[in-house]
This record gives sequence, C-alpha cells and structure tokens, in this order.
Amino acid sequence: MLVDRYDRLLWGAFILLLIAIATTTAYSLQGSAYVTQHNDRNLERKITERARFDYLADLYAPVTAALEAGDFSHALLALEEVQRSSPDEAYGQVLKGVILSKMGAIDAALESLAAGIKQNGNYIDRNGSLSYRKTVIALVANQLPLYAARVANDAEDTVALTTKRHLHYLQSRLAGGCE
Amino acid sequence: MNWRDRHLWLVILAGGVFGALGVMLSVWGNPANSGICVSCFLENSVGALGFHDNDRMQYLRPELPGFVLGATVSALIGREFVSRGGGAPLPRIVAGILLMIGCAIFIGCPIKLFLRLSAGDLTALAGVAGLFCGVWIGLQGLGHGVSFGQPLKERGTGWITPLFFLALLAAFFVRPGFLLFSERGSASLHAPWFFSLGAGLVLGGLAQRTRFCITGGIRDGLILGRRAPLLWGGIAFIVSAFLFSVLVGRFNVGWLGQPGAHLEAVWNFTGMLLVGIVSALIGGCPLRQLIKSGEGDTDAGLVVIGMLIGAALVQAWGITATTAGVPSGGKIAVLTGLALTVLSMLLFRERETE
Repeated sequence: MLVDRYDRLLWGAFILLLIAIATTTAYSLQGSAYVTQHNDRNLERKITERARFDYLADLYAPVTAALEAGDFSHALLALEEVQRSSPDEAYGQVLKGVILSKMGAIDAALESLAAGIKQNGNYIDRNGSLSYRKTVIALVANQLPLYAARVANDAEDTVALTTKRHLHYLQSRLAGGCE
Repeated sequence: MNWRDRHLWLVILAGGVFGALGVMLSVWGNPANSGICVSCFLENSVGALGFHDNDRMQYLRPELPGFVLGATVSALIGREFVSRGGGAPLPRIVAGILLMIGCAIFIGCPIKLFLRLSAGDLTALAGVAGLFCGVWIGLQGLGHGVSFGQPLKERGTGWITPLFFLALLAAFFVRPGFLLFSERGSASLHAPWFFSLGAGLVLGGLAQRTRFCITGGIRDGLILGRRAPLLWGGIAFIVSAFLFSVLVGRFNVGWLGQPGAHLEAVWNFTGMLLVGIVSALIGGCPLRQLIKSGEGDTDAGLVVIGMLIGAALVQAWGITATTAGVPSGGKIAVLTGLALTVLSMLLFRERETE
C-alpha cells in the first residue's frame, strides 16, 4: 500500500488526521472546549428516578401510612381510592399484594404481586427504590413448599396450581439472570 | 449543452420541484429550512422506532417511505427495477454511518445545505466549500483506482429495502405501541402526513427518473462542466428554493440567528467534506442512496442501513451539533470518519502495478 505518490499522499493525510484526532481529544479532555447538548445522561436518569419515587411515595402515602400502622383494611380502602384514577399502576398492584399477604389472602396477594412485578421489576430489585424484595422473598420461601404440597395432593386444585405458578414466577425474578 | 434534450429539461424540472417542495414542506409544518433533510428525517425516524432517547427527535417521517416507494414505482413503470448488489457490503454500511456523522456535524444533508443557503443562511457557505472539496477528493480517489466493486445481478433481494419502508409506512398509520412521537422540539414540527407522503412519492419518482443527486451534480459539473444535466438540475433546485423562500417571506440573509445552524465554520466545512468524499466514492448523496435502494440496488440498501445506524448513533452518543456548536465528541467522530475514509481509499485501491 505504498506504491506511488498518491499512496504516500493518502498515508500523509491519514497520519495528519490521527494527529488531529489526538489533539482534539486532548483539548476536549481539558473541559474548556467541551460543548454538550444535554446534561450527563446518568444524572438525567437519577433525576427521573427520584421524581418517580417522590411522585409515587406522595400518591400512595395514605396507603403506606396505614400499612405501617398495621391498619390493613384502611390501607386497602385507601389503595382502592388511589387506584380509581390509575387501576393498573404497577406500584399499586405490588402494594395491594403486600397488604393482602398481611391479611392472609395469599392467593390474591400473589396474583397481585406477580402482576405488578411483571409490569415493573424495580419493586423487587436489590437497589430499586420502593422495593419490597424482602417481603417477596419471605412470601416465596414460606408459601412455595405449602402450595407444592397442595398441588401434589390434588392435581385438580386449579387455585393452588395458579398460585404456585405465580410463586415460581416470583422465585425466578428473585433469582435474577439477564432478562 | 443541448437545450433540446428532453432529459435535461426533466432534470431541471426535478430540481425545480425539489426546491419548491423543500421550501413548501417547511411552510406546511416541517422545521424551518428543513423542508427536506434526509439525515434529519432518518434521525427522527430511528428515534420514533426507539433507537435513541432524544425525546425532541422522534417522529416517523412519511417523506422517507415516500422517497423510496416513489422510486420503486417509478423504476417499475420505467422497467428499471433490477435487483443488484454485492460490492463491499460491510464498508458500505460503515459509509452510511459516516454519512450521518458528517451530516450531524453540519446539521443537515446536502439537500438541506442548499435549502439553508437559498434561504439566506450564510453559515452554509463553509458547508458548500466542504462538499465541493469532498466530491473533488472523492473523484481523485476514483481516478486513482479506488473502487468498492461492481454490482452483480441478484434475484429478488432488491425488494428488501422497499418492503422495509412499506412496513415503516404501515407502522406510521397503525401506530403500534412501541412507536415514539415527540411532543416538543423539532420532531414535533411536521407537515400534514398527506403532504409529506405525497411530496415524498413525487420527489422519489422524479429523482429516480432523472438520477437527481446533489453530490452527483457537483461530480458531473467537475467532470463535464456545463454539459452535465445534473449540474443544471442542482442549479434549478437552488434557484427554485431561493424564489420560493422569497415568495413565502422566509428569505433572511445573515450569519446570526439562522434556524438549525451554528457558527463553527471549520466544522461545517469538515462535516460536509466527509459527506462529499463518501458520497463521491459510493455513488451518491444520502437521498440518492435512498432512491437507488428503491430501484433494487442492495448496495445502496446497505448504505441506507448504515445511515439508519448512524442516525441512531449520532443522537444516542450526543455527537450531533446544535445551534450551541459542535460537541467535542462530534469533532472527534468526524475526524475519525475522515481517517477511516482515507484508510478505506488505501485499502480499496486497484493499483496499476498490481
């Protein structure tokens, strides 16, 4: 690739361009020449996440307050009030699952939890804001053996079968993996 | 120059219609001085498909399927639709990416370059100089044996790109949930779809019939001088765009305060230099690649795929220039693009001694 004058010309241009790239890169790293069209996108993402957290925390504040106070029926009423405007919102579904599990309605609780987490896995992430990971871990650990036994005893028990499917789904999400 | 040549007048007509619709699409709703801009349309469209997250640049522009499908219909009517390709596929994809990087630094494709100029935007002058120099350098390369190979006839593959754009058009009307549409920014500005699609179909058909191409006009002008019909087509385009800009009150001469323009002349020049070289080497500007892909040329289809990738990358990586100027990433990208182009000229050169 170095046969004639045109080849030499191209190599010369190539080397000059490499020098120009190095110079431009070094100059831009000083920061003074850095012109950017948007803020650091990771910062943008954190801002969005925080806004989402604050908004949901405000929206569901009456629900979480009643839940923490142990007033589960009041929490459920407050949740129904909020869900009138956004019935399928994932965090609402998760909260409903948590409340129902505290009330002992395990089948409905797991259905609601699975539906919420299918929509948004953040609610069982280790680092997720508004995460109920520990609650879900405890539920799966406690309930899976019971439901496995129920299904083993009666293969026609469709309620137990469905709930067991939800438990396995939650177990799979808790286990992680690339998805 | 044979003024009785019917083809010459058809090319001039195409240039005139391009200029007129380029201005009118902007009047009908497209962003100022961006009535037609292939690179902007591609950036908007890949954004709509979710390939970048700039929520000011997401709209599935109907002009794009219009260009391709208009060319397909015209090629079928003229019995010119031939599936062909096979010349250096991977470098053509890279070439498409480089075209979009060059356009992103200038803020517009060669069509928009002359639309901006004919609307009085003097910042485009550096781009014009860059484009001319780029085409000249590309021609020198071709003259010294740089070649990406000759296309061969293929069976049926020429339909892939038109079908892809037909699917895009269907998606535009069906509006599946994954499509994103900006509610602010330049992508929220658009002409009514029937104007956009209609203009695209007409221009695509005309461009196919006449081989209309901005860089092609410059190339032929440099080789043939005044005898080149495409040169006259380019002149007709500029004159028509200028007249319509004046007519609709959008002519504003100056350097400052121009829509979608920055004052970094060196980078305007460099961006269009890259576009000029690459266009000359692969046989046409971004619009021409769309048109050729519509008439069965799969080599051009690969360039189009490269352009789609490039359009996503320049937005996703923040390479693209804005009125604030050229980001350092953009400067590095365009210089890297030039380096890759020079390297490919070395690699794809057929030397007499070999």
